[in-house]
Parts: sequence; C-alpha cells; structure tokens
Amino acid sequence: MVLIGSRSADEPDLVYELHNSCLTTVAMAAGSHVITAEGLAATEPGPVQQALVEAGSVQCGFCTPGFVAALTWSLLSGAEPRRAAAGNLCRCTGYTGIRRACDLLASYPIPLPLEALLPESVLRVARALPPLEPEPFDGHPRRWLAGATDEIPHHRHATSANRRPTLLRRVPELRRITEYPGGVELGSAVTASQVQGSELVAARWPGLPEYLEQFGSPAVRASATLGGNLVHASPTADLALPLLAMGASVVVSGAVGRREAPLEDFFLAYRKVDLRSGEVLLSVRIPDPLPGSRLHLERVAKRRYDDTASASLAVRLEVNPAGILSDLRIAAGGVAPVPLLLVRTAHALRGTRPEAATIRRAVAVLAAEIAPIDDVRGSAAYKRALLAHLLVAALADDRPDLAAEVLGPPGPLDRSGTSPEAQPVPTGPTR
Amino acid sequence: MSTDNLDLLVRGTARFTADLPLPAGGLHAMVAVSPHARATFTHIDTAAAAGQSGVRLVLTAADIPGVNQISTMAHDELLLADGEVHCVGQPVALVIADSADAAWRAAHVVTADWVAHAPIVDAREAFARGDVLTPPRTFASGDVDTAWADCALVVTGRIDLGAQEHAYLETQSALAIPRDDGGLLVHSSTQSPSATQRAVATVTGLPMNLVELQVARLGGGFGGKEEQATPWAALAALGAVATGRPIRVAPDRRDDMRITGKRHPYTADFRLGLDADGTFVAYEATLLQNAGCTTDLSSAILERSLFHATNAYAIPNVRITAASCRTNLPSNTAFRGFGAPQAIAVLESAIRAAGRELGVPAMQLQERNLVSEGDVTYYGMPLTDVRARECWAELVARHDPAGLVAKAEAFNTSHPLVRRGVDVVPVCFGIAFTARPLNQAEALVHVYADGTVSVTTGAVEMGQGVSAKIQAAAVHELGVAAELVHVEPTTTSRVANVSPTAASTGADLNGAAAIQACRVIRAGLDKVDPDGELEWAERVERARVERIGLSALAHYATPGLSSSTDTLTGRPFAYHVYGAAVVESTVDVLRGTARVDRVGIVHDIGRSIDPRIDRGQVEGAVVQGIGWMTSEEIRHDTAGRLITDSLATYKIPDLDSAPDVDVTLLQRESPGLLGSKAVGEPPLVYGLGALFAIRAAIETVRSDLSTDVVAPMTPERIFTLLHGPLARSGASDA
Repeated sequence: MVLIGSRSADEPDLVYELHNSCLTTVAMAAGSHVITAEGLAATEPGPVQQALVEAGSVQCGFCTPGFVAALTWSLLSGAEPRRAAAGNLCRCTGYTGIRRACDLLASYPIPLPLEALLPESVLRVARALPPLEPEPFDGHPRRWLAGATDEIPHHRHATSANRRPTLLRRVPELRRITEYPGGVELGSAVTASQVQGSELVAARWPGLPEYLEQFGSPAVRASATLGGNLVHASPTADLALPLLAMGASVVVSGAVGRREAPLEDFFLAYRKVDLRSGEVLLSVRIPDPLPGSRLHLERVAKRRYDDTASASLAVRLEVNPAGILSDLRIAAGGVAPVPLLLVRTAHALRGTRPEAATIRRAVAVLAAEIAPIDDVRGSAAYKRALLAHLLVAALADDRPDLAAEVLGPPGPLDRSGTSPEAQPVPTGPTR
Repeated sequence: MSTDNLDLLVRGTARFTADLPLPAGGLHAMVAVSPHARATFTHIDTAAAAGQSGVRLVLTAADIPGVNQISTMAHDELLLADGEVHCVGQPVALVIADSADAAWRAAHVVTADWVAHAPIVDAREAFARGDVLTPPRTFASGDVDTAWADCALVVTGRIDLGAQEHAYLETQSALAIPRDDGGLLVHSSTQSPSATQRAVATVTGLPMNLVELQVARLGGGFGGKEEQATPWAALAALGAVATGRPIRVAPDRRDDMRITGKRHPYTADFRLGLDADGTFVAYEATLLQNAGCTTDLSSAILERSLFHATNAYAIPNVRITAASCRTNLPSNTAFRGFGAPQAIAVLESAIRAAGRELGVPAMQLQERNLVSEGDVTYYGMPLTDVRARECWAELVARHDPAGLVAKAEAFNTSHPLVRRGVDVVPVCFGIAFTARPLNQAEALVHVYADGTVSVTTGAVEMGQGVSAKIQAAAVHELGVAAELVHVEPTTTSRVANVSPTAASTGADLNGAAAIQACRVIRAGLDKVDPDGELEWAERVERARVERIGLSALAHYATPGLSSSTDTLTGRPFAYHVYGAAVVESTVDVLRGTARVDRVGIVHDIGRSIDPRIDRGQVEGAVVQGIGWMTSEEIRHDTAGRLITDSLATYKIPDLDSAPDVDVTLLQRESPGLLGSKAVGEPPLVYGLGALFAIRAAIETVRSDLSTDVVAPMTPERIFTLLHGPLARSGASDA
C-alpha cells in the first residue's frame, strides 16, 4: 500500500491517492511521487506510525506498512480513518487496537498538510514534479490498460510484456464526468472513487456513493475504472448493476464512428461484451431520474466490505402519488452469466401497488427469470432464495411489517427450495 | 515485542524471511504438486519443465541425497511424492529457475502418468472404513452408562465444525545458503527451528551440526508454521545442495493456501445428561477429527481435544472417544487452540440444547456447573487456584449478560426482521505441551564488555510479544535498564533442540530459561561486588578483569509435570487459564446476514508483564475465533480441490466486520513467567460465542431450529436456518 501523488496540468498541487502496490505497475506510477511507510519514517516515525504503536495496533507487523499508508492518506485527504483503512487485513490484532489508533488520529486537524509528514528535502523534489503528460489517445489504442485490478492478479506469474500499453486512466477525456441535457456522462476511465465522490452523480443518485463503499476498498476504487468494471462483465459487477437499473447506455467508438447502445445489450454472455474488433468503450450515459424516483441497492456477501456479492440487486422505482409503482427497472447480480436486467419481473410489478400479494407474484416471475449456479459464493438454491428476499427488501423498504407479511411464517419464500447444507461443488473451474 | 522491534515494524524496515536479499548466484524454486487427491504414478515427466526458459534443474524424490522424510511425530510424510499421492497439492517435484516466475510457470507443466482413484474427504466416511491414523482413544471417568438413569433430561445432537485457514499475512518462506564447509545456513519462517533443522538434515543427509537454522521474525504463525514450515525449508535446502547455489522458496498466497493444512474440521455426536436442578450428571461424546493425509500433529491435537472436552465444568461421569480420521486432504495441522476449541464447542452445543429443552438460559446452566477449587478434572488432575467463578462473577459485574439478554428480548419483540442474540462462553485451558518432553527450553545470555546484554532463546517472535516478555524477565533478573538488553533472533547454533514456539508456552518456557541463565551471570557478578556498590558497567568490567564468566547457557524444564493418559492420573498441565466472555450479535432476518456487535471479556492473565501485549493477544484471538465461526469457510470440490483458495474467496474478519472487544484483565499472582499466565490460545475459545449468539437470534424466529450445529455461520447457513425447510415436525406450519 502506497500513496501516489501526481499533478494534472490544471492543478497547482500534487494530489495523493492510495494504491495497492501489488496492483500498480511501474508505468502506472511513472512521473508520480510515491510515498511508502519507510519514507514516512525517513527521520522519525510519523504521526500515524506513532499512533499505531501507542494504541497497541502492531503485533507481527506484516500488515502495518499498509495501515500506515492508508491512515496517512486519511489525514491528507480528510477521509474517515476507519473507512480509509478498509481493505487492509490484519490477522493478529482483531482490529480493536487499530480502531484505537483511528480514534487517536481523529483528533488530528484534517486535511493535514504534507509538510507535517515529510521532510523538506523530499517535498522539494515532489513540488518540482511536472504535471503528468496526457496520454495520447486516438480512440483506437492497440493495447490498453485501465485499472488493471483484475488483470494484474490474473497474470501474476506471466512473462513481462514488451510493449507499454496505453494507460487509459491517463487520458483526460476518458476521466471526465459531465452533464448533458437530461443526464450525466462518465468517461470509461473514470475510477470508482471518482464516481463515488462526484457531486453530479450524488445529486441525482444519492444512495450510490454509500453503496460503493462495498466496492473493493479505497485503494481498489482509486484504481478500478467504470469501463473496466463493465468490459470485464463479471456477473456481480458492482457498477454494472446500478447502471442497468438507472437505464444507462454505453458509448463506443469504432472504425465507423461512434455508436450508443443500452447497457443491457452490451452484456452478451459470460464475460463477453458487445465490443467489436477495434472498438473501445468511451463513456457511459446515465439519464436523469424521474421526479419521485428512487434507487434501492441491495448486496449480500460473506463479508460486507471488500467481498464479491453472492447476489445483488439494484432497483430504480417510481411510485406515483396514488401509491402505484408507475415504473421500475430491476437489475440482478450473481444469478445469471451476466449482470442481468430483470425485464419480466419489472413488468409484473409495473402498475401495481407494492403489497404482499403483488410482491409474491413478482417473486414467482423472478424465479423464472434468473439462472444462478452453484459456486464458491453459494449454492444456486441459496442465491435464488436470497434474491427473492432482496426484492422484498427493495419493495418493502421502510415497511418491515409488509416485508414480514410477504415472508409469512418460517419456511422458504421461494418454494423451489433451499438446501439445508451447501451443495457439493462440482469439479472444474469455479470463477 | 521489544520497543526496537515495534519501531522497525512500524517503519516498514523490519526484514521478514522473503525480504532477505538473495545472495549472488541465488536461484528460485517452486514445487510441482499433485492435481489428484488420490493417485498412483510410476514416472514423473519433467522434460517440458526442464526445457522452459530460465529453468536450471528439476528434482524429484529420486534426487534426495538423504532420507525422503520430514514428519516430526510419525514417519509418514515424504518431502516429494514417491509412487503415490494422497492429496491435491502434495509436492512431487522441485523446479529451480533463474526467477520465481519462471520456476512457477515450469512447475505447472510437470506431469506424471497418474492413475487416479476416488478420494475420501469426509471424516465420518473414513472412520466408517476404519481409516484412522491411530486406534481411537477414550478418556473416561465415573460411570457414564449407569448415570443416564439418574438424569432428568438427556439431550443428544451433532456438531460439524469447519476447517480454518491460518491466513498468516506472511506466506511460507525459506532461503537456504550453502556454506564453504559443506553445511547450510537456512533462513526459515518457522515456529519450530529445531524440528525444521532436523528435517533439513534428514533430507540432505547432513549432520545437524552442519545445518544452521535462523528465524528473525514471523509475519504471523498461529500454528501454521509449527510443522508446515518444514517442507519449504527442506525444499530450499534440497535445491541448495543440488545446485551449490542459494535457493529461495516462497509460495504465493494461492499456492500456500492450496498446499498447506488448516485447523482440523471436527464432526461430533454428543449426549449430555442433567438432573432436575440443571446439574450436569453425565456427558458422552465421539469426536472425529479430519486429519488429512498424514499424521503431522494430529495425534497431539486429538489429545488436547480429549483434555478439554469438559471445558470449565465439573461433570462426574464422562466418556469421550476421539479418532484422527485419514482423508485425502492436505494434512491438517496446529492452529491456535490446538483441538481444544473444537472439543469445547461440542459441549457448549450440548449445553445450549439442554437450556432450550429446559426453558432455562444456557448461562444459568453454565454458571451452576463451573469448576471450583479442589475439583478434579475428568483426566485426573486436581485443580488449584481455580478462577472460573471469579471470572464469571466479574463478567456479570462488568457486562451483565442477563441484562443484555433481557434487552435483546425487548428489542426482538418490536423488530420482526431484526433479531438480537446474546451468548456467554467460559474457558478453562491447560498450559503445557501435552507431550512432556517438549516442556523444556534453553537460553544463552551474554553480557558484553560495554555492559549490554544479549539473550537468545528458542522463542520465535511472531507478533505475540514473546521477545518483550523475555526482555522483561532478563531486565528483572539482572536489574539493568531495558535499553541494555537485546533479545536475539533464534538461531540453532546458539541454542539447540528447542521446542516449537507453540502451546502458548513461548514466554513461560523461554523466559524461565533466560532467568536461569541471568542468575548464573548474576552470581558471578555478586562475587566481584558482594555489597552491590558498583554501577552495572563497572561491575561487568570488574568481573571481566577478575576472569569471571559473563555468559551463561541455561536449561529449564517445567517442574511437576507427570501424567498418564492410560490411568488418567497426574498433572499434564502446569496450570490452567480461566475466563469468560459475552458475545452480542444482530441478525438481519430478511437478508439472512449477521453481525457480531460486541464482545465483553474477563480474562485470567496472572500478573500481566505488559498489559498492552496481553490485551492485544486476547483481542486478536477472539476475533480469530469469531472468523472461524462466521465468515471463514474452507470448501473443497468433490475431487478434493480447495475452492476457497485465496483471500478473495476465503474471508477473514476485516476492520468493519470485527466487533468491538472490551477486555478486562483479571490480575492475580500466578505460576507463569514473573507471576503471569500464558495468553496465546485460551481466548480464541471465546469466539465460539459468535456461533451461539447468532443461533440464539435465529431461534427467536425459528423455534423449530435443530439442535444439530454447523459452523461456520456463513450468510448462506444463516439464511437457510431462517428460511429453509422446517427442521422438524410439530413446529409451526407454513
């Protein structure tokens, strides 16, 4: 875990981001200022290091440099320390000591100036760094790399590449979040942290930033891109689901110019998207929500943060003044080969009032629309039953009595059956 | 840990084994492993691997110059497979290459003429076939068979406990460097330097005095590097002898997880009888341990299970039968608690079942039956200085578990879809290696001419703070400032035949040995300065001039240990550690998820040498136990392949999911080092409370919940218990 600082042409100061060093190639860090735990203790241990020792947060110490970097970033950025350190695993302390250190840091003035952390000699070098050169981008790169948070772990023992790929995160036009009449457009190299921090997005979709806390960790979100999440097309892709529910479309550049298509048409099959040879995903366009619309996001994993969902659900729903579900879009993750738009389930609910009987009917339609498989994230029967419950959660949000009524007495809601024990997983690849 | 060690760690400059620079000419090695859980072969095809770019050499069992054997307890574990394999991940060949990546790639193209057979991965199936490592063992006292008649209530049930990955953040690692005299210097991330040294000697054919084994520090061990650090060191040594070059072996996380063993899964059947007052009358259980494919430490772990089957309770009639079942999984191994948490979980399950049947809170039954001063354990050891009830009373005073239950019940009545559960778990944990010969230690202390002190013992620092405790012991005995005392990394040329740093005994044994050595030196210093008039440095200088020795090697053996597991008499343990914890959890009924909210603990620590260290040990252990009971799920496919093989799919607790832990250290003069008590393992048992607290919350929705218990409580299990098919007839009908 390191801090990587860089300056864009229109910024006077270096901006530091938190990154996993194991997910960062040398090319990605070129021209930037890299700060490590060792650097922060170039003379004496820094304030974060002192707090960790004082709070009894250090046992074997193997994870400590990661916490040092993450918590230092929290002081620089103003991020809440416990959130900043999410994604750093410790196996010794049980985190109680680390939380004590976070509490000690909460008394620090934030954001802390870099001068309080690094000696002047280092800062002089950092200040002298020129702005990052924008990456040349003609719309048709031959090889490219976006966040690479999936790419690098999958090729960890590969022979090194000879050609430097185009680094999409360094292409300014792919990093922009802009308004257009009737919506907001996000460049494909916009990172998950950018989406999370965007005021344009939050103003339209207030629940999204908090949901994205469950996407990887702060360092992963600083690397992972919107385009990467969509093109990688994992069935549980955490950005794809809300975007499907929001009615987003993709903008693709190709040899014959640009084309725009609904996001649901972009996902063709397991890990296969509608990008033809020479085409590149340029941006995602999200139409503005209708008045009275709300986005409900549900996600269950073994661990709330930094874990792939067993099943997830995104619902954009509009309820008219008469209490009728006038429109809705529902997307489900982890229950099909692709992030799935549930057209029939939505149709079954459209024009109804959210009551126990209508929800039960929708659950029955849902069961026929999904096709989960047994894998390491759970049995198919579990995912099927869980998704039904997530739909209830979305439709009976703020109405626990309605949800309880839908569930009825103990027993499966989805009568296709849950397994008393996890089913044996068949042989063969599981991810 | 000593202040200077903490300083290195927090600065990020501390060197772990894989951080040691590879000396000039050094090469990298990686093992090729079996893709089959059970197979035979006659020929290993290494040609494709040997032909890859950067590959120097590929070694198989036939290339081992010494004896192909690395087991400590039984001679049943080969370094490299010979004709047959018994689990997926069993090493079959060693590839040596210029880079770690080249070695890894080549290792994956090694093949053999495999003839695969159907594997057995289930302990009950292995037991039914009689496939056990040693004959089943039974510990019994009283007369269980006639006692059932005296019981007002008898409950029966079954519990299945999953495996647990150690997830030490520093993966296994070794570096072997040939010496000019034909010997080897081996750096290994091991908890067991002498056993590793011995295995290296066995495999290479070198005498032990030509194998020096060094351990600077570990990035976590938890038992996973007690026995299973050995193959990596032996592989590096094998490569170093074959090539004459330094060899590094450092598997990545996925390979480490696939190849190394875990905490033993247990499956058990229990029967607990109580009289009308709720007093425990009789307890019987069969514990089946899934040992994996070799002995490793399984027999010793099984024995500790037997010793802990009655936890902190007095039960007059007990019979426990336990067996190590051989399966086609990587050999399961030591993990903090060493079989005790599994055995305790069985009885605690029985107590929860009895409470439900009687309509009495389990904690009432627990308190009633806690051991008291003078009680004799069912294995024949009289208990003295018993603190079970004192810890319980302190827990009640500080955390009011009954009040928490009442609050949870009030909350539950008004929340149909959110339920809270509360549970209490006491612990009584025996301190000593149950293998008596391991209860000894050696320390070498030098006082240098400038007055500084160096202490070397067999204790391996892995974050548990053993170095700081040994430093405190030396400081106490010599009466010098802490800054003058440096605790050295363990190396087998300074101390020999050391016991593994395990069984929570690291500080007790090695600290006591350090004190003995300091006493010898102090006796010499007293001769030159009988009235203690000189400053420390002057006294040291005077002793040197007077030709008084300033170094001492001392040996310590835990006194009073003697036991017979045949007659169930004597003292297998130096003392017991007590404590109690209350665990609160919240279940989201609709989504079928749970959170462990809070843990309150009162823990018997003796006179804590360093409360910051001891508190950290308790906090860390309980969260490790909670992980084992909740999110940490080891799963294999039907072919015996691990599918939860990375930290992406195997979920250990994180900053968000780990509960707040409130630890009270009960400080009383005790028999351990400087009046303290051992701390490493006992508090892991408190994590069982997460299992039962979540079950308690579920029971408020499912009154038909089966008494059969399965752990871990993953969201899928919670969901299924909440919303799955009805567990038994007679319950409310859907």
